[in-house]
Amino acid sequence: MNQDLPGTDHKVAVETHELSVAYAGRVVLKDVSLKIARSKITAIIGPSGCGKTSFLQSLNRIGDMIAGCTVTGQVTMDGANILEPSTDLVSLRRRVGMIFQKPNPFPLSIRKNIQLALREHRIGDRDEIDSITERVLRDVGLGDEVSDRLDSSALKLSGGQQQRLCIARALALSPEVLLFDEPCSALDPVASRVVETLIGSLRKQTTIVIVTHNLAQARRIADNVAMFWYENGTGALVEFGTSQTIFENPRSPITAAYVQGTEG
Amino acid sequence: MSQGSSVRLAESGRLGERLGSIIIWLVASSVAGVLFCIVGDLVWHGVSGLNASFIIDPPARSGREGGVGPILVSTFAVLLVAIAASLPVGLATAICLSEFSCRESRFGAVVGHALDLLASVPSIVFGMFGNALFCNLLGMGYSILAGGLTLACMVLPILARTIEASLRSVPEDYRVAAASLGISRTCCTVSVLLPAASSGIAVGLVLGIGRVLAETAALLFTSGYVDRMPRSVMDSGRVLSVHIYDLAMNIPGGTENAYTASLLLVGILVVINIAATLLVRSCFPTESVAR
Repeated sequence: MNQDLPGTDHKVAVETHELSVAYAGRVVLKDVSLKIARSKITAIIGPSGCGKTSFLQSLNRIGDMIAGCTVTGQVTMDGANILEPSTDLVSLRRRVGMIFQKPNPFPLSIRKNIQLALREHRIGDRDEIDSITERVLRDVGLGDEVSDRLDSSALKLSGGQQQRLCIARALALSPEVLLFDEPCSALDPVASRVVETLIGSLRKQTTIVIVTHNLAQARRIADNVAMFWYENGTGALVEFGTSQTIFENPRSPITAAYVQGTEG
Repeated sequence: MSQGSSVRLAESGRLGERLGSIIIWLVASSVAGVLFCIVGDLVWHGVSGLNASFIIDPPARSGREGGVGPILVSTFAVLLVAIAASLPVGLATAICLSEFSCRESRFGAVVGHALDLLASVPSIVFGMFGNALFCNLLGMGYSILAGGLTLACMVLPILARTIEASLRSVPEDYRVAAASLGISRTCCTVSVLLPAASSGIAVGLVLGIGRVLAETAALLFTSGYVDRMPRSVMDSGRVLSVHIYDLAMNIPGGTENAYTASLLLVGILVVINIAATLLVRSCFPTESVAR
């Protein structure tokens, strides 16, 4: 299904064309074509098993790590199809960061969690790396909370703090696109609200694509919303529009039923 | 069911559980008891002879008198050669088997089976192999180097399999997180996975060291049993376990020093176990990390 960008004046950060994902030959997502607007928050909603995460994993090719996963179609960034075998995955993943459902800081210090990727990508000298570390920790609201224990283990942080550290770690690389895969689902309501507010504030810095089961959250933070659904075990895009259209005036009866809570 | 019979059933269940706990406790205690019996026997017979001069002095009258100074030097030299040769190879094999392309490949399966077979080969066979390859074919003769390299082949499967298992037990989340940041697999392995698997590496190292220090048969064929101070790794050298074997089996009147030497060997093992654990933890810290 082909869906144009809601509103015409936004630049496109990522475009998918007939994107399909299969695991061991079983197609779980079929022919998704949509345009993700630059510096906007695009939420992917839909019931479990409709291919939302598979879609997200195709945008930085992290799905390549899953044995038997095949992705077909096109994902275009800056005119290049990133699904081409020749794509440099290291540079792609530097440009397209990802935050996962469960916070996954490395079992290292808070400082090393942020600086490991910076050093790997040889970004800046020691002073610059330190100043990036300070900046991203401040950006995610951890500056004051952890400033006196940067060298203690990241695993000692609370779940919400760990998730914000993971966001800081991704932000340190100044990604063009940041993918969030249900980032609040493993957090308590208070931590969840803090992370949600943070994601909302990040649209100034980067393009965001977020998979969420929380419709209220999608409504609060998303500019555009893509509604996924499944038929016969295969996920597909049923509607793509502005947040206002999807939640207040959806075209598809499936979307209407889902956002009203009568389906899914 | 009446209330009385259900109460009786609950009581007999509790009794059975209590009996089960006691049996398990007794079995576990008997395992610890075996260790205490051995150490107790060694301390009882050997502690009176254990002093500084026993550790420093060379043996006299075929070991009936004097100490184990040169033998300790040979023992540590063999240990050093064995660990220096086997740790890098074991680490690389484990990383290949758990992290890189041979993880699920046929090549990986063949290497894994080869390691398992190697682990089950009797030490006397390793001794004959070491003698043929290192002593004769490579011209090392009876030497600390030949003995150390033979023991390196013996401890390789222990090291590789233990480190592999600990790497595989590191959560997949770390690998995915590293990949999502564009961190290469090599950097992820060195900076994230190895520190996370450090306790497993320490266990592998300690098991390997234990195997080296305890080995006798393979060294009779390779490092020899000359009890003088070795001048280099190409010199023949008698290790502590061979010395104990010789005193206990071949030297009439050597029993007392055999006990003292055994007590010393166990003491060294305990100290090395603790030191290896601390060393690996300080090299690959996970909880409290220095900058």
